[in-house]
Amino acid sequence: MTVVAEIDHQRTRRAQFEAFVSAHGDRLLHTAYGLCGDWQHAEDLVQQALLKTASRWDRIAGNPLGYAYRCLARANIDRWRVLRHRPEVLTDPTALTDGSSPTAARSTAARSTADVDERLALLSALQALPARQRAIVVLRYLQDLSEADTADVLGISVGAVKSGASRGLARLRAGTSITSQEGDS
Amino acid sequence: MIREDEDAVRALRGALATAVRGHHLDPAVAEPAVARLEADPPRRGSAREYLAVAAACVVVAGTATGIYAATSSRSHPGTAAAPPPGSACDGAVVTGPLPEWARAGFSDPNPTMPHVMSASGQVVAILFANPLRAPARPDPNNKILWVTHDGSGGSLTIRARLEGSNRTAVQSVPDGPGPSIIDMPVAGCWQMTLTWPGHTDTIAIPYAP
Repeated sequence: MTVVAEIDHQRTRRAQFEAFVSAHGDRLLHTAYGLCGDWQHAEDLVQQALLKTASRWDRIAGNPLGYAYRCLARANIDRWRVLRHRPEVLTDPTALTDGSSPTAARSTAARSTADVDERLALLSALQALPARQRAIVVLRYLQDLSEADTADVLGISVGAVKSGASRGLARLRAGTSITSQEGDS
Repeated sequence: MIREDEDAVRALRGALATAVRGHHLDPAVAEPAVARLEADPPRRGSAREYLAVAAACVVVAGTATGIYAATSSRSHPGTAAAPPPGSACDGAVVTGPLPEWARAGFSDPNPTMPHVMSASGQVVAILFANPLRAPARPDPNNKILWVTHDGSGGSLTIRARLEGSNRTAVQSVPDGPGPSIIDMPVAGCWQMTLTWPGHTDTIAIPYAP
């Protein structure tokens, strides 16, 4: 590659990367929040994921989003392993918010209905899942990845995705008041 | 999926959708990654890899610019006014394999691109949009890659005259011959005199309205 071509290629890959961030940044942030339940940690996770994505940009070809998801999930599992030995327990459920600030969340909760309580309970229950199980639930059901894509992102088998998703949802149900309206199964 | 699971997924989606509402990624979060990308030299990937990334980004954002690949030229057939017979620009733009000496930097070893040869045959203007437009449009822009047969470089000055009129325009490419954006004020056949250290040549390039 000539020097001129290389400079132009550099510009192009930067434009491509910035377009990728512009198109998927919010989605990655929301996924990260689902994984860790904390906006500050979510931004940290996204930053780590984007760094790794950038460093492999020329090699991840047509699926940079899948690779970024993988980085997010792995970074959160690593973080969870560390926290397991130095647990930080969220004692204030309103820290899992709609929100902008705990104050706003408390305010919302104050005028809340049972729906709000259930929502907070659900988010708390999600964060109580083991990290890998949580990643399966978030990717499979919140980001609508297929079982195969979820397995690929997490580096596990499709069977493990199926069982993890089933157990995760069962634990979410057990931790909240979700029941079928018709009560059948 | 059993009914209870469906309810749980629905409730979870609703809860998370509410929780994330109004939260957007701070562009500063991506800055270290952009810096990393700039610091790392591009990998000499296969044509397929480069094209796949480019195609993916065009799909997700529609903003990717062309890379040196045969498929990257943006063509908009049916909207160009063909140069009239007898014009210096008539038949000037050829879409076909580039001269071997102009293929460096392309991921495709046999790139096919719209291009215009200079009068001497020593310079080729490779068009990344076909047709070029006057007035210029933002997408695709009027990108031209100037390549010299002998590899000579230096500041390139383009003195252009609109065929059939006295209208002129001057453009300079400080790092040229090389990639450039060459806009002309009005559509027509622009006859250009190219000057760079130790060299001069002429070329005619059409611009469509």
